[in-house]
Amino acid sequence: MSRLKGEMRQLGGDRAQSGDRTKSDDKSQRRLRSSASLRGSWLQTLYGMLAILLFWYVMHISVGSAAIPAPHTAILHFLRIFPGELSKHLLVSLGRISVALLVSLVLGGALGLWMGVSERADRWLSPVVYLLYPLPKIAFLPVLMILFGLGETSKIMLIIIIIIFQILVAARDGVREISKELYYSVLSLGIGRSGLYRHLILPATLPKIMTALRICVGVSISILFFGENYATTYGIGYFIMNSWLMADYVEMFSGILALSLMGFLLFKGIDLLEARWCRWTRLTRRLTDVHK
Amino acid sequence: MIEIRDLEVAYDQDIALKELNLSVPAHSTCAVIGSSGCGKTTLLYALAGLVRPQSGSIVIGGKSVSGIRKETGLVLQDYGLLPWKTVRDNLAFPLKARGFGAVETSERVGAMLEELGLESLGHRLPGELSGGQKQRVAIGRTLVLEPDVLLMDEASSALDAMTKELIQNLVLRLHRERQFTLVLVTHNIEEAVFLGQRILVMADGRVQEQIDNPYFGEADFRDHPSFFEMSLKIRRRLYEQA
Repeated sequence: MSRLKGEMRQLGGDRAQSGDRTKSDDKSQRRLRSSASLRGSWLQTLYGMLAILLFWYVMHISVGSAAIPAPHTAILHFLRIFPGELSKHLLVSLGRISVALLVSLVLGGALGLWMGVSERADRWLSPVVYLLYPLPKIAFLPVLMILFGLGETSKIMLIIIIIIFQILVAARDGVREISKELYYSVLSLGIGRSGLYRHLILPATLPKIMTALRICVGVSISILFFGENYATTYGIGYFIMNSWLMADYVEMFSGILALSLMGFLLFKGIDLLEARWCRWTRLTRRLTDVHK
Repeated sequence: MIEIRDLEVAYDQDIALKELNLSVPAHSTCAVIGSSGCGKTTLLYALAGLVRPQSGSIVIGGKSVSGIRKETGLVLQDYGLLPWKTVRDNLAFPLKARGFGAVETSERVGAMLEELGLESLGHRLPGELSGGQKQRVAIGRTLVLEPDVLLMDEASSALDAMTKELIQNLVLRLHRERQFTLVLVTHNIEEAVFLGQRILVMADGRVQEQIDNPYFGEADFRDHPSFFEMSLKIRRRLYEQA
């Protein structure tokens, strides 16, 4: 056994490759990397904010119209109204988007995985998806209003019927990208169908689904803005349009700031989930950086 | 004992294996060598129950193979490790999926990590390992299920010369200790000679020749003239086939 262990040490090249690294060494390195990445992330956010503010100031000065108020005026107004009225509008919009994203993720994800795994399902469903995907679904709003009424359901359904296709296609393509060797390797371990989904298919497709989800957030916010312009007195879309109609541009820009904040929080939330669930993709990215 | 009779496997119109007959005694080793596309890997997939033959039969331990056989382990060229699971989880998930309890899973995984010298790497992801380390994890993941047949497909082809030899030593040692039947597919003549008790030369989906290797398992076999003689013999056969 001792000879075997000696051979193993030689074989692994643990020392040659990574020194006498222990679990605690690895942990402290990870902690350092994570705090450096957090610092980098905040600096990037700060840079993004400064770039937008600069552009806003340039537009404000060069256009010289009340339609583009000074950034500091809008920000101060935003800070004043946010704790009261604005946060209520924001929460309503956030709720609508969250429900739509969740339903699309569950339904689109499940259907996409099924199409990826089953050739027959893909054969029957792909033509339907390809025909429906490019349609301007916003044109179906009157139909949605008839079917689901003027309340919350039609607004949420409008978002779902647009973004579900992106998640579905991403999940299906994610399954297709699993290599035959990896599939065979896991299959040969004699795990059942549910084990195959849990241990291989779902984790392998998760990075693609997360990317699709990130795209869907941006799209959802745009659709929501449209959907919140009928039969409601709450929602950030309503707030912005109402301010515009009343020619209160400072208030309108405060709403736009709130919308931007909501998008930012959703994107950051997805980033956090990805960092937790898809840690291995970050590792691949880090290794790619080293090879540059 | 592995018994293959008149096996034929085809992918759509392409015939990968034709009227293949083979028997591998239990607890022995068999190396399959041949050029690319000769059907070596298909033979391994058929033995693992991953591809369904058009005709013929495969019998392992007296039972016909008609699907994935739980007592057969498979180690592939690119290791087949799940990149999102740590080394420990890669070893543990097949056990958990087969219904082993948490305590037994942990014990088996711990023992395997120790046996393969991987204790300090249990928390790492496969992407953080060297090729040799990944190969050990792949072997460990299969052996933790205690298979009676181990199938290896080009298992050391991506490794450097020294690591390759050390992996081969490890496989030989594990075979001796655990007494599984080993079927190994390789491009590498030296690997076939070192690990094959019987060496099959394949071409065009058929076993063209079976060569017994009487020197298999001898101490310091690689340094022995018989190793070079056997390697030369195989090389000549491969040239003849080409």
